[in-house]
Amino acid sequence: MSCVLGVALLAACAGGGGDDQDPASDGAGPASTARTVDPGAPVSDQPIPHLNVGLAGKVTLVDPAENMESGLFVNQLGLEPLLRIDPEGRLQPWLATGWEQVSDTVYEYTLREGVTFWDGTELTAEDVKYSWDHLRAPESRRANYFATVDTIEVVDPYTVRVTLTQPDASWQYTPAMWYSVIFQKKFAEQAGDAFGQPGTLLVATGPWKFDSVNPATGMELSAHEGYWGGKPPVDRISIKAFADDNSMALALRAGEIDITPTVAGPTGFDAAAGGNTVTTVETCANTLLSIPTQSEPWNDVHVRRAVAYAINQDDIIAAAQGAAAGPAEHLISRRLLQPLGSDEEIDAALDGVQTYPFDLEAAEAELAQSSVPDGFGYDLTVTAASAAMAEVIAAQLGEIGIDITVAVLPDTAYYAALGEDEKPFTFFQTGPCSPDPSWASLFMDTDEAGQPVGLNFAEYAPPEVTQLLADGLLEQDPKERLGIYAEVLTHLGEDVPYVPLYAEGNTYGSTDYDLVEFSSFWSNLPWVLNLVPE
Amino acid sequence: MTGRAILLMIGKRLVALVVLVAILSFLVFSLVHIAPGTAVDAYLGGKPATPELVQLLTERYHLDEPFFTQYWLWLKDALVFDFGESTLTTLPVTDEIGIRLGPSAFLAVYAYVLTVLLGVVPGIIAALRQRKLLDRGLVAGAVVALSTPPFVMGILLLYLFAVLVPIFPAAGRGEGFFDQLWHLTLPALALALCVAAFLLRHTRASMINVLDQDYIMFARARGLSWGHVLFRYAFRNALIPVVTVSGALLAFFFAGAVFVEATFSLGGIGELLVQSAQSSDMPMIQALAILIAVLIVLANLLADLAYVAIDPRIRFEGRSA
Repeated sequence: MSCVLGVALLAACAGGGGDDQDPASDGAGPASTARTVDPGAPVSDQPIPHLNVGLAGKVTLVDPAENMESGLFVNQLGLEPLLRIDPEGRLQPWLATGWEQVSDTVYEYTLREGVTFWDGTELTAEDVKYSWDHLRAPESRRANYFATVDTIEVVDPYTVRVTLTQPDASWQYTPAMWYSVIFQKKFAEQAGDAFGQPGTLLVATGPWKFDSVNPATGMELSAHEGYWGGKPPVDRISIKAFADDNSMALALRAGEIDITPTVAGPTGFDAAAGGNTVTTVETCANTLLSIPTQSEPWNDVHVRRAVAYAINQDDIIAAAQGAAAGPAEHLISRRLLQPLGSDEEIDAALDGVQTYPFDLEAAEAELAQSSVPDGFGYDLTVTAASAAMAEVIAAQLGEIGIDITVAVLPDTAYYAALGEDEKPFTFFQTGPCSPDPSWASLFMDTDEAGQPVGLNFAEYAPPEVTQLLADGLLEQDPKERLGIYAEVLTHLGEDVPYVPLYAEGNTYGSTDYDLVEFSSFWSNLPWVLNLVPE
Repeated sequence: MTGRAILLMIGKRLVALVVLVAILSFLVFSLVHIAPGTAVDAYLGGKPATPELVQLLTERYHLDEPFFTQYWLWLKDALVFDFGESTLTTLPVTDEIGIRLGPSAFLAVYAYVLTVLLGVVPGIIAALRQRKLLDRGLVAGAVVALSTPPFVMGILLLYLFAVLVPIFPAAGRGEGFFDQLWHLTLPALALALCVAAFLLRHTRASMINVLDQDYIMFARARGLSWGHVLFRYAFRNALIPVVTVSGALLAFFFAGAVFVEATFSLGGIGELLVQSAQSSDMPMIQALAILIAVLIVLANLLADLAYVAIDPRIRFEGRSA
């Protein structure tokens, strides 16, 4: 009987979302347009006394070196970086008005004058140095983003100089990312170990100040009257923590939240929220099927190519419940290459890269050439959240005689399995990307001895690729870099350690508001400034 | 039972509690230890990290120490009520539990009161109206409620009373007594209905059984009023099974409400327990296991004391916890 009720209930909740319209609306509307107003200014002046924001997950603390998961999406309402990345991947001013690459390894940033913290004191280069030193300390979760930084110096009250240990073309974007946000040195020094924790919080420059954080229920913020971009139009923001999409969708439907920027399953959310509530924009991250290239029979390239041909992205995208924004051709998203050249130049560079459109005959032909022509059995190891899509992949590989068993692990056991010497056959979302193509080298990471480490779950480490990835960071000329990354993609096309499954999308849900510039980098800045009434 | 005997019983239970907590903490520690994945795996969550950070975290949580050393390091702090920091959120365990304790306790007591009201009262009515239409209706309703898991009931109530007819809030737990009462009504109902249905059938059967006893007929024959017989004799005896389940029920509502907590985004103890178990968050798991064990023992002690109040003939001297 409980089953009968359950089915009836789901049907009732889905009422209103049953039309044929695709809930995702990629490429259309304000979400895909860039901010055109001055730095710090709101896109819409319409006053909003109280904005209720839904968030799937908790906000446990606000220290940018330690906070995690959902907190990362709302921390930047109060904490700002020096620069902004526009939707095309170009740098724009924010807390810094100017920046200059003095040499291959030296960068200088000129701070905006007259920026005040929430307590009225002025932002200076000392605060920037202190914040970045805090974020790159060994115990910081963000230390890896500052790995090539040698020193951070205060040149004068409005100038900060960063010296790298070696040329690193990806550094240019770091001062625009969520992991390089600025807070007040004086308050942090006084707070000591309690810095950023719920009872202590921190002091920063953003348009909304943190009033309180409750790790169980959410967060309260109020307008910073002396904000350098002008008084923010939203007086109060309440962040409400939800356990999942479904309860958040019902809260939106009941009018208890105005917007949520973190919808994980857009199709289900939209159905529960009553329809026409979600907007999805493609990001620079691709979800990847990871093949353990050092384990049998995957060490045979023909097996990997057979898998790549057997994957039908259309069916996988349909199974992604709206989380997929479109097909993905290469491990390095085209969006990551855009800062390096024009569309024609990118097309020309990628011309010779092998791709694997869905082709069962080609898949069978590859498998026939391999060491396992009659197929084989293997586990596809995933977390519970990915189980449904894993079944689709298992069915697709079953077509060519690869008998896949979906092994579902609890999250922590899954992360432990990824750390084992023998890597699992799995797939994963690659998440918040930075705009530089070198970001994708995380999945081909090696240690100094050339052995695969970190997120290199495919254990893919040919010396020539490792060299190319190193050159990609050392080289400063965009055209040369485009050539280098195209060559990396050529190797990936031949060796197939990863099979791209789909381009990931970010989704917000609201019936009253739109978010301008909801690009891959939306959460790096105080995004409520980009709110416009529908 | 004399006051001295009662004190002796309480003393014995408290000693048993200490032994229980000691055994439990070791068992839970061992089980988490052998489960795949460590706190560092959960903390990093498949995100990029420097080898230095991994090393620092491993040392911070003593994961490179032998098992018994790890347990001893935990125990020696726990003995002075220092339960450490959550390995997942880095916040003090007692703070994290503290902010969830009030609402979870409120929800548990609220759900318990609703369970008793919706179980006992209709149960007595059904027993008095045996085989009449009202009895059949109540029993049929109880079967439906009994077959509906709390999380399904939760979504149904949420959809009906927060979305279609928005009388109650869809999420959150409120602040202050009346705000909490308003916020927690639907979650408490979702938790209570299933168990209340069970209690209704239980009370009905037990009441019918008592009403059939000779002493009831005898009391009636002596000319005592029906109301007097019902509440003084029948109800009091029928109440004993209800009191029996009360302790377990309170503890269950406190720690076992995870699905309902998730449906209504309450951020309670149940959710914290599941989250900490998923992330091998040893300090949190240990503190919660102890808290729940203490609550179960205390709730059962209270239930036993309530027995004594209802029927002073009941003795516990020969029993331990």
